[in-house]
Amino acid sequence: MLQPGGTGVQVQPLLDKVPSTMPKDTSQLGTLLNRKRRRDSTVQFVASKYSLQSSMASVTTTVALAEPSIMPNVSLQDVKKAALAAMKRALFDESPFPSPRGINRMVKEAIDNAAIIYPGGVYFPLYLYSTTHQLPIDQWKSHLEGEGFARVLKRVVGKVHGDFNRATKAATLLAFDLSLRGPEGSTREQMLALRTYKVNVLLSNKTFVHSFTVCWLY
Amino acid sequence: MVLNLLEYLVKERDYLSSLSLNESAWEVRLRNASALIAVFLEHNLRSFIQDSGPVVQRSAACDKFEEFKTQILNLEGAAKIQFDTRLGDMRRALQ
Repeated sequence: MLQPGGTGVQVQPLLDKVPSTMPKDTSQLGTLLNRKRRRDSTVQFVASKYSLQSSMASVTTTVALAEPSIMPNVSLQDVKKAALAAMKRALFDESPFPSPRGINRMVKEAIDNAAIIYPGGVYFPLYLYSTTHQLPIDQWKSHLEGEGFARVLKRVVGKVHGDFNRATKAATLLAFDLSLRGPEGSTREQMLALRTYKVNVLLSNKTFVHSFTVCWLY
Repeated sequence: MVLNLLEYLVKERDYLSSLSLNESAWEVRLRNASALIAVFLEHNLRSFIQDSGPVVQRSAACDKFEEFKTQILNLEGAAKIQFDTRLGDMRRALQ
């Protein structure tokens, strides 16, 4: 197995171990390393450059490899949880009534930001096929499971609205005394008229707005 | 009223715990949550006098949200002090 090293590490013995079915051209070593990295999630490459002495060309060639990602121990559930929180934060940071286009943007940013917070990126297990198969985030997002999770994020908007609506509905009745009560002997029509009057007063003089700092419930 | 409901959502429902109130944007988030509560308060008040249905139209709700947000930001005097104090208390309670 390759060990981390700096510039100038001799890896000729490793090249000799490359199976005959694989090309020994050093220019393709990066591709081979990437394949190996995806197969074995425990392998972590830290070095960025290897100096390779090619026996085929009998010359020393320096191949610069892309900075390999350090694969963190992050589960898909962690990322989903972070994305859900990010979606909710976006609603309260911007507007809780985003346009359809705005919702799509928030969903994309929530997933991307959830992955970004983990150094080196995140590789998602693809449960539909195999517990060991993993996909980079961009591929996961366009997969069925990723698209399904995007729909879950979109529903956060409606869920927040529903939660706030339910909380305020019960409070409205109690706080502004809008239950159907009236003087003894009042008819239902009279009680309804009284409630309508109260509501109209609250709406017209914005009393309920001015009660931002008034303790009504406790 | 709005702040009491906000406290209910924050403390009783643990609703806003994921808003990361340790971040610098906590005040904006709590104020926006307050404006959202005001939107639904008015919506529910109107539902008593007319059959407005359960759905809040996005454009109208968005306008209302901005209106309430402006009102909250423009609170003055004792109302502003009380509002800011209770928001701060809520934030500390969540830290």
